[in-house]
Amino acid sequence: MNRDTVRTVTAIEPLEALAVAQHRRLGGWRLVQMHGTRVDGATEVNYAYALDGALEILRARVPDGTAIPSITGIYFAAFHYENELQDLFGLKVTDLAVDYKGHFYKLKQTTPYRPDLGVEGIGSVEAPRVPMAEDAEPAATPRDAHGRPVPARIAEGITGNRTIVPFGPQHPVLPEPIHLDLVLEDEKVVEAIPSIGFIHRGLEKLVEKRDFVDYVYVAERICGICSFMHGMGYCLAVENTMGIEVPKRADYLRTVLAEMARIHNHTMWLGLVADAFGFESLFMHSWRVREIILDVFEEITGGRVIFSICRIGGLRRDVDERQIDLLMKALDRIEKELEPLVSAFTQEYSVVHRMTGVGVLSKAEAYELGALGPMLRASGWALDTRLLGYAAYDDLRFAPVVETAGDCMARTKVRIRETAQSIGLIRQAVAKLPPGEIAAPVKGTPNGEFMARVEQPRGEAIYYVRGNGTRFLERFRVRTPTFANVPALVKTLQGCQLADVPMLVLTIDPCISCTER
Amino acid sequence: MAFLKRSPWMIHYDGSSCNGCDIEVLACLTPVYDVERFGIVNTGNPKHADIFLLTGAVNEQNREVVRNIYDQMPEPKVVVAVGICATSGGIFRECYNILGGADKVLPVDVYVPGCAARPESIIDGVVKALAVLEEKRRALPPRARRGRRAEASAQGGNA
Repeated sequence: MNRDTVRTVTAIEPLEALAVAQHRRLGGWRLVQMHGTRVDGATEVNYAYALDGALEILRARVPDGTAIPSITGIYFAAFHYENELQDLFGLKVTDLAVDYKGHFYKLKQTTPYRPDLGVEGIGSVEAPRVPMAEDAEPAATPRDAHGRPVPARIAEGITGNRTIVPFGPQHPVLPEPIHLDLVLEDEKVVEAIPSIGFIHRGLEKLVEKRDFVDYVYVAERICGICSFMHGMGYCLAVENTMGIEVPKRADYLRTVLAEMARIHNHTMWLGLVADAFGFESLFMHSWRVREIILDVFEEITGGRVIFSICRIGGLRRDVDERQIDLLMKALDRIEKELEPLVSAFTQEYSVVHRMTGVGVLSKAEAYELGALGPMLRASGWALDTRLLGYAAYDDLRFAPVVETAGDCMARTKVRIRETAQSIGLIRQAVAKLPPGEIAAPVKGTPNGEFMARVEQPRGEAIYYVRGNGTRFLERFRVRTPTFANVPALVKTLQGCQLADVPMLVLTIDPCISCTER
Repeated sequence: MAFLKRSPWMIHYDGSSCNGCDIEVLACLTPVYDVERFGIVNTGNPKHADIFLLTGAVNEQNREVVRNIYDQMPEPKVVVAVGICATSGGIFRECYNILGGADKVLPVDVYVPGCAARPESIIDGVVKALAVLEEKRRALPPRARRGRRAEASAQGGNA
């Protein structure tokens, strides 16, 4: 069962959010996420903070037509949550550190959670605040090639040898579209402004049209790389809402599959980062190793990347002796074949030269910017959501993989060591695999709410569900690790060389389809 | 036979896919499937590309990007919609930000079904696209037709 039991929900006034944020920050709490929910005539803004195993949700009810103060002055990492609130809920947020003014996502339908606002969007909502001189927008807002406003401080800064270089959305090194405006001083990056939204689908809102049992398949398709964990995270949230006890065997098999997904992800990432620094044969070899684990996935689930094996209450298919045997053999092979790759990544002169000391994120910065997963652990934090003990992690022995240098090399080492750790975890779980059922029956409908936390290959992911007793959930929210790692990426890009940008973007292990959902 | 058909270069763009099809497109190029041994290269530059592989559905923000990539590609060119999302919007077709399949923006020549599309079917789709590419090449006016020289010399003529 989940050890993540200390969870409180407290109602606050919208204007209290600032004071609370200040207090939490001093107490060392981490801003986990922010999200909105529509409740009759108002938007509920939820601030989630975490400290060790404790999770606290502060809930402010914001009546339509009022604005909320931004907490970006205290937690800079809140800027994309708040921009999202502006775009999707038409909620005006004042004093935003980086304000996209409703252009964070470019949507077919503006403010989808507030269809009543129409095309006017956030413009029609007045902030209950005395307007100040710096609020007034200049007559002609500078805009970039996509029509999005360029913050004035950047447009003004373009003097002398400063230039803006657009990076993406289509770029040879990017498997997925993200756009960065890089402000350069000669070859040095002074500032990087991300714009996302190229693959925003809006699948969170699809939950209102799909039965909660069928929605697992949509949740899985948040991302095709950690698809299993997305399905599992959603299932954990719904199961906890409904009080379903998952059979032990299903818990163990979920753990095995989740660790397989981690091996898949990390070997794939090793290839992608090698490609980013121009080492093509290393890319090819990493992907060759990755195929070994995909064969096992195919054997067990029938799919290579999308598995559809998780369901609410457990799993859809059991694993037999022969499959376990195949898995064990595959693990031995991966271990053997990874060895020369690891020495290439950690000892080969050109690789070491490219990655050591590049893109350093200090310990304090990593925590303050809300970095997660290998990004956070490479900067010296032993934070791993698996320690909360969901699925079968409570019965397995492991310690978070930590490196202290905080550079690209440290992030690579964390992922390499985590691959070995995952192999060990699978062996432990298989050795203890209990017999029995693989799924519990699902009776009734979800009523209530739950926020589940899962450690994905890229870091902690949050799944929030709220049911109202019908077959259709009221709200589903997923906060993926890449979304939380973007502020840290922006930070590491500052001061780097233009030639290092592709590699730095890759070292956060960006998953844009997770980020934008 | 035209040389173009033997070594087509492709460009891949992720519309709003879940990544599933994207990594399968890349898997086609890497060991196990390894289409690079046939001279198929994944290029990042639209002006080098003959085949456009589009994964995922089209949305408001990327329709111009997709159109821009397509417009930059030289003639003859073919578009392959990879996966069910690029074909029809797939599981996401009812999402508020999805316009629909790739054919809402581009003329699609080959549709590859699947969620996610398997490397085998992607390769099959590309092979089908090569036939379309050859057809399109023949339909071009002779002066613009690439490979004219090679063809003439293959027939023993003096080009």
